[in-house]
Amino acid sequence: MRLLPWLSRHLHSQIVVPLVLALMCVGVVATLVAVSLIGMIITGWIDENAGSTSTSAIHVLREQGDDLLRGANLAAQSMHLGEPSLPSDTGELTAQLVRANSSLQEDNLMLLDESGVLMGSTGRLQLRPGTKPIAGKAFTAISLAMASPVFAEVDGIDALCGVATVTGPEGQTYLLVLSTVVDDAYLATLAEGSHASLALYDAERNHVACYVPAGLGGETLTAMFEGHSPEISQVLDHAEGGRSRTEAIEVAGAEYRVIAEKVSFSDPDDSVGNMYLTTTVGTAVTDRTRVTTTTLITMWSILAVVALMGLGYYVARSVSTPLELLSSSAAQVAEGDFGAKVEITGSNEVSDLARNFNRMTDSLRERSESLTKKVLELATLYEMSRSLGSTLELETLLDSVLDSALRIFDVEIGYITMIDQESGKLEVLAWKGTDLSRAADATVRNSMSEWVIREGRPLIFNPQTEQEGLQGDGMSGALAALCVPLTSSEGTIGSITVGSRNPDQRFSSDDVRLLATIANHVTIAVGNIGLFSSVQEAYLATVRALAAAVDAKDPYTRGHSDGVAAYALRIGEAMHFSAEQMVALEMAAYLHDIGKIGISEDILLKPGKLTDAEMSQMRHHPLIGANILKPVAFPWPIAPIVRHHHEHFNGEGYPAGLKTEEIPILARVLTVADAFEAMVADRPYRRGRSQQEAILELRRCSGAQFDPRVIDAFIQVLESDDFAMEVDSHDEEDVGPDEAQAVYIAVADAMFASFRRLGGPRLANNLERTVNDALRVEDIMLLIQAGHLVSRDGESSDEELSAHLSRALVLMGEGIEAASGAGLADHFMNEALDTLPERMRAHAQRLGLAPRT
Amino acid sequence: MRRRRYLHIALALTLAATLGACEKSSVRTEAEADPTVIRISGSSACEPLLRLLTDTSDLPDVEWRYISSPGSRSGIEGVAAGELEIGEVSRLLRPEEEALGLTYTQLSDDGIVFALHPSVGLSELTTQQVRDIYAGAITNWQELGGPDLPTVVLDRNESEPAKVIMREHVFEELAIDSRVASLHTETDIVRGVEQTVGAIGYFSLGYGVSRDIKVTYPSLDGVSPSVETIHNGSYRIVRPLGLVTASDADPTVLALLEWATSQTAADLLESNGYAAVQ
Repeated sequence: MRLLPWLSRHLHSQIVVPLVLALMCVGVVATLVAVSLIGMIITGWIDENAGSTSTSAIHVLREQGDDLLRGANLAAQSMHLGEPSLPSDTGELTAQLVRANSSLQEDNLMLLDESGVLMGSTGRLQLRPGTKPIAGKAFTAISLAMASPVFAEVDGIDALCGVATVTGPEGQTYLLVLSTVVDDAYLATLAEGSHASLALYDAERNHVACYVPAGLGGETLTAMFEGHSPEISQVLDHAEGGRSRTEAIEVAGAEYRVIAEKVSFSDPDDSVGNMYLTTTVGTAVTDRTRVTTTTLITMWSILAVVALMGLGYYVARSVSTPLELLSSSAAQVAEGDFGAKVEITGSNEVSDLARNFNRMTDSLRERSESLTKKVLELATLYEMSRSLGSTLELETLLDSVLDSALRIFDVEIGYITMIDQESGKLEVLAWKGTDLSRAADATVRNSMSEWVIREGRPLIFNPQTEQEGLQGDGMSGALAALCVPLTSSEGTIGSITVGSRNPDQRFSSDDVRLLATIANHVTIAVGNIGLFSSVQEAYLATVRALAAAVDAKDPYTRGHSDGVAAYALRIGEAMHFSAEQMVALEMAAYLHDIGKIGISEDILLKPGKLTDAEMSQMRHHPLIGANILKPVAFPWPIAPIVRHHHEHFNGEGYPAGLKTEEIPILARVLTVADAFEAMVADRPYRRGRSQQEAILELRRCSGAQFDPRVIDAFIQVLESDDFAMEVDSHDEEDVGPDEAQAVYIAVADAMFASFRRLGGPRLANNLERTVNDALRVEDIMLLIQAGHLVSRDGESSDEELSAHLSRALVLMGEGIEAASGAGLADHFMNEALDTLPERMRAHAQRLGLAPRT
Repeated sequence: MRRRRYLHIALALTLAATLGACEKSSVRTEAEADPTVIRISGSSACEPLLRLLTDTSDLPDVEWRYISSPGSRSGIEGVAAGELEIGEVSRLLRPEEEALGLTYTQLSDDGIVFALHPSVGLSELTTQQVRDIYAGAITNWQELGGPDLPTVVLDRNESEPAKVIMREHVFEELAIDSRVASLHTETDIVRGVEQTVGAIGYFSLGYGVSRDIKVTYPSLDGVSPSVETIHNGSYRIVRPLGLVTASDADPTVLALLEWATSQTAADLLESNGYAAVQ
């Protein structure tokens, strides 16, 4: 095969080439067999021809001999011999011979006496009387062989002789010899009718005569006959042994078949009077026949081989071409092209194969497509579930879910509706491919979503082909739509709808299952978001309560945590902190001074400067705070922030003396916010510095106490209009009930304290009693106790409490007025308002507690 | 050899294709090749002359069929009976034969000459010597100055035209020796003279010349036999060779007659020893 690479490449070559080789072998063998058979037949025919020619020639010779014998006897009877004597009566004898031969018409007729002397002769031999034409043994044979012809040499000329005796008057015996000259011409008459070459040899194997017909070797053959060639000797040997058979001889390049036979007229063993006849037949004619036949057979073989080769090639092509097509198509399929088709017409096995192949590729393509779709769906689902876990914002979540769903279903329209938990109304929260931002309530109520949510079952709408223009979903304009409910443990909370404006789009039950899966994810994620936000709110509430506890402990710094938190968040926004960091920062801001719970009130509330010991006590509060917070499992690392919020950037802070980057960034922010709030806030013992002064101070301490980056960010925030406006807007906010109560309580407390400072304890006690009585009269659940306005037992709403506090403040003002006059009451009110922090002062103004003149 | 091989292939290729056509055409050829048969018979003395003429005539599709017969008479009767187209005649017509209404055309004056076997070696004889030989007076050529060979005398039957003419001119009333061999046909006597040592005989000069017989023609009484001596009348032993045809003869026969009497044919005859009729 390696030797014939082209053989192994094509099926048709593999079929045709062996076929052709086999055919050629068969053809060659058949040709050889046929040719050799024909050769044998022809050789046999030639041999037979030679044999029959030889036989017939011998037969003619024998007949001739018999004729001669008969003729001689006839002549003998017609002879009238007187007293023949030489030379006197020879003329007459000869005349008789002439007359006799004129009827016999033989070559020669002669009369011999007993001693062989010629008495007279006529004929071709032209013998003179008185000579002895037949000599020696030949004469003996002639004189003895009366009953049979004799082959003898007469006067040097070979002749076949018939001898008859003529008895003279005195009893002498004369021999009448009738002869036929055996020469080449004679042989020619013998061979007439055959294309054989004849040659005669006498008993001594001397060449007598030969005849070579035209076109049979000519001179060379004649030369062979005349010379004593070994081939002739051999065949003559065979003839002598009685084993005559045809032999092949070759003369001058030409091949002949030759047979020799012994021709004996009397005793076959007698060497005298016999001769040998060789019959030679040329094979040229037969060679031509053989060549022609061979050529014909070969030609037909070649023709057959060529025809069969063509046929084989056609058959092979008709097999291999479809196979090649199938093969290339299979290769395409193997490379992933399932669109490969084989077009083979017909109704045989190959076309069946092609049809099945096409069906197979179709099936493969369908499976591959559905598999690809499934993989895409899974991938998208996976991506979606990741994104579901990564966001805690409902709208972002719903948008990403819609994106994924549209990608999975390969449609362009989708929206998600959810029931608002407070109002119970159905709201469109996310949409794609259609604008539903201003969807009317009625439209939403009549949409598929409403039905699906009400029924808690999926709904498919596939358009009927006949009913064009009918919209599956009126709200989104989709012609085909699929809607499934978002079902949580609490029931149906909303729905997700996908649709398409393509009228050929059809949704199946598979699609329902898929969208339901997505809906499940969405439901879980929405539930998580709800849980998270409630947890976060719970934390914040807790943290605010703790902050409030701190603030309660140190009335001077009341609202400090709120302020720090506000500033810290501003800084955090400016520094682009993450949401988690922001939450942590807010929490830490609220709780940063929680450690002050563990500080003695004497130190905490001590006006004026603290001693070193007191200061060192005071410096424990970050650690105390961190320790308090440490066991609490906040989701954010708040304790470190609290612990380090008094560290300085240059490492001179406390409690750990960390510096620069060692300090948590949130702690660094908190430090700045804490310091700034402390600077700008009013305290009972001093008024806050202005913002400009505070900024200068911050700048001064940047790089020493504060992180320059935080300072830069904060100053940028402070100098922007946003913050100022926010502060202003903050002022205009409605005063919340808590704040209002705090303001009322703070104003009342401050007024009472001022009155006591000026009027002394007795007047203060009187005032306390008077006001308490008035409060009791008006059935207000408040009383002044030890200078502080406190709530009595009993529950009351915020609004009630605020109203009571407001009334209590009015009653206190009236009591002071009654005790010391209206001027002093205004003084005490103004003094009380002055002690309030700026924020509370603003609240007080809004509550109608304006300074009086 | 290669060329022959190609030849064979071409032959083989055309063989099958032309086989049927060949068969048809060969049949047709046979049907067409149906030659006119002209039957000729009569005096054998005329035959060599007539063969000369028929062999050299260029008439197409004719088969000249020579039929052996006893003599002139049968030829004449054959033509008269319609069994022959041409009758050979080596004598003048007899009156009763002329009455048959046949057309006689003489072609040649044929000299009857004595011929000797070459072994005799004599070139001239006299009428007397011939007579002596035939009478048996001379039995050995030695007697005439020739070799020591016995004379082998060959003769014709008395009824033969040649013998008749010889009787008229040479033998007259001579009693022919009994040992003389009388032969039936001219061919026999020609062959006898030619093949027998010491033989003498007589036959047509034209026969002898035209068949190139190896004999010698001695002068008779000093006149050497030849076309010239026949023409000029010095050699007188002549007989007329002619043929008879039917009066309403076949066109082929007429065409042959026309050819036979043409000058070209005359020249041809003369060169073959026949003295053509002038």
